[in-house]
Amino acid sequence: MNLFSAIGDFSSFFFRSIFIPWQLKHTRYRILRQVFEVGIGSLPIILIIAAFVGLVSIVQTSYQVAGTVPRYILGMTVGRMVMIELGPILTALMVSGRCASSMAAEIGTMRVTEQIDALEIMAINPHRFLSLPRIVGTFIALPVLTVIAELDALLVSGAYAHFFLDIPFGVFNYGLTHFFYAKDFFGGLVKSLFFAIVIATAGCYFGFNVRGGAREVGRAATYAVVTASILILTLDFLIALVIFG
Amino acid sequence: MTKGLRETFVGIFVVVGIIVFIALYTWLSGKVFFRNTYDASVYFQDVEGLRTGDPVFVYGIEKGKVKSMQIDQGQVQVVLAMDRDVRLPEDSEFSIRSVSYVGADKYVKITPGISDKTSDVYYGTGGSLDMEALASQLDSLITTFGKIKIPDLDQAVRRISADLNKSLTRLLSMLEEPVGKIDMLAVRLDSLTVLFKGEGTVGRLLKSDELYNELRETNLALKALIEDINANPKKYINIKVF
Repeated sequence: MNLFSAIGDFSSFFFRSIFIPWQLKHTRYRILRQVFEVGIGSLPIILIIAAFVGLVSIVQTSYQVAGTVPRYILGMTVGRMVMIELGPILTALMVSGRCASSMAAEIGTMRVTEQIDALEIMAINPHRFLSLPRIVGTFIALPVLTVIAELDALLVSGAYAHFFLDIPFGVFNYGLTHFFYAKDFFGGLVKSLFFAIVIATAGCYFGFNVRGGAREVGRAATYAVVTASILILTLDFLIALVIFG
Repeated sequence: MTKGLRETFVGIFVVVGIIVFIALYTWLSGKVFFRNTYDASVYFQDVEGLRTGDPVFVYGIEKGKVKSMQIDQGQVQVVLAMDRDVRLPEDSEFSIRSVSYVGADKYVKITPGISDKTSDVYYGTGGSLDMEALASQLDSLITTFGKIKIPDLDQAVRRISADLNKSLTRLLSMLEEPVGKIDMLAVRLDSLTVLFKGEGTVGRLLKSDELYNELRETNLALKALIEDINANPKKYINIKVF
């Protein structure tokens, strides 16, 4: 399969999963379950990762610019870094590592054990049953995780600046708030919506396409994470061109 | 975990997400809902990269934000959302400044005037300090200086110094004669000054009224004598032959 046919197959899988009757009465609970799995399940790791993102951001920024620019510039720089790039990207990569692999493994196992075939025999659309809830659930959960991660990172970086870098929180907050642009904040969240789609679609796509046994299931999980990561970074660049370019 | 409990957790998660979203946006944007502001319209010739949302400082305190911008008849109309507690007299000064010499972040600086009246429209004084351009100019200046080689500079200075020395020598030799004449002139002027001060014989002659009077009287007497001789020549000229 060459690159273009792979892109076409991946895209058509996404459209087959989304542009179908949703039958919310039956699908609703499955979507909620996925929001729970992706959102609440990933929350602890995201909080930890975001805290360290905040710490690394403030330490690195301070190391590079302290003494050459006013101290409030640190707040501005860290705020923008977290909102535009680090918050959405690292949250998406963590969710991709945690959820895309589990989706691929779960659906792949269903494929090799012929459970998906059984669904089709029972006239249940496997895309609506398996892919749609995962894509929609991730689409709801990832932006929520992203804003929580951003708040966490900013608070932790502000606290570190206050207690360890001799930059009062008021000064940090001044840089953070006085040069805030809504575009930065919403641009990051728009990114996270696209990332959610590629994470869930990659997980489901590689799960659906497993052929073989347990080994292929493991490989599908790996492919799902790798593909999702590459697509996240590619989309990050393209969205940055459109929004911030 | 029961179905109902899971739904509750998901509900809490999503609601928390929405609350965090609103809180984060409110905190970062500095927007307090129902904040009491009014719009002030300022015209600038050039806003130099000012953006919507940039802060507005009055006496260095943030008291508003740039609400919108549009080009209007060859100028840029900038609408500022100002806090109600700030009054802008009609002679207030508006300028666009850079936050620092790095980055392109700008802010609007307002120095309120002293007039009792306010205005619907204000005009920016411009003259913003473009720190980036300044830094760039400084950089090019430093680069130019950096390109000058010290040995070249040293040689040039030596050559200029030698030329100057030569020219000065010639100039001094040319000036010797005039200087001598000027010295003589000065000596003569000194003697003239002595005369005018009434010192010496000629000076006293020049300054003394008594001598003048005596000379005048002598002149008059001489004149009378000549007239008398003319009238009575025999009285004075008595020529006797034998």
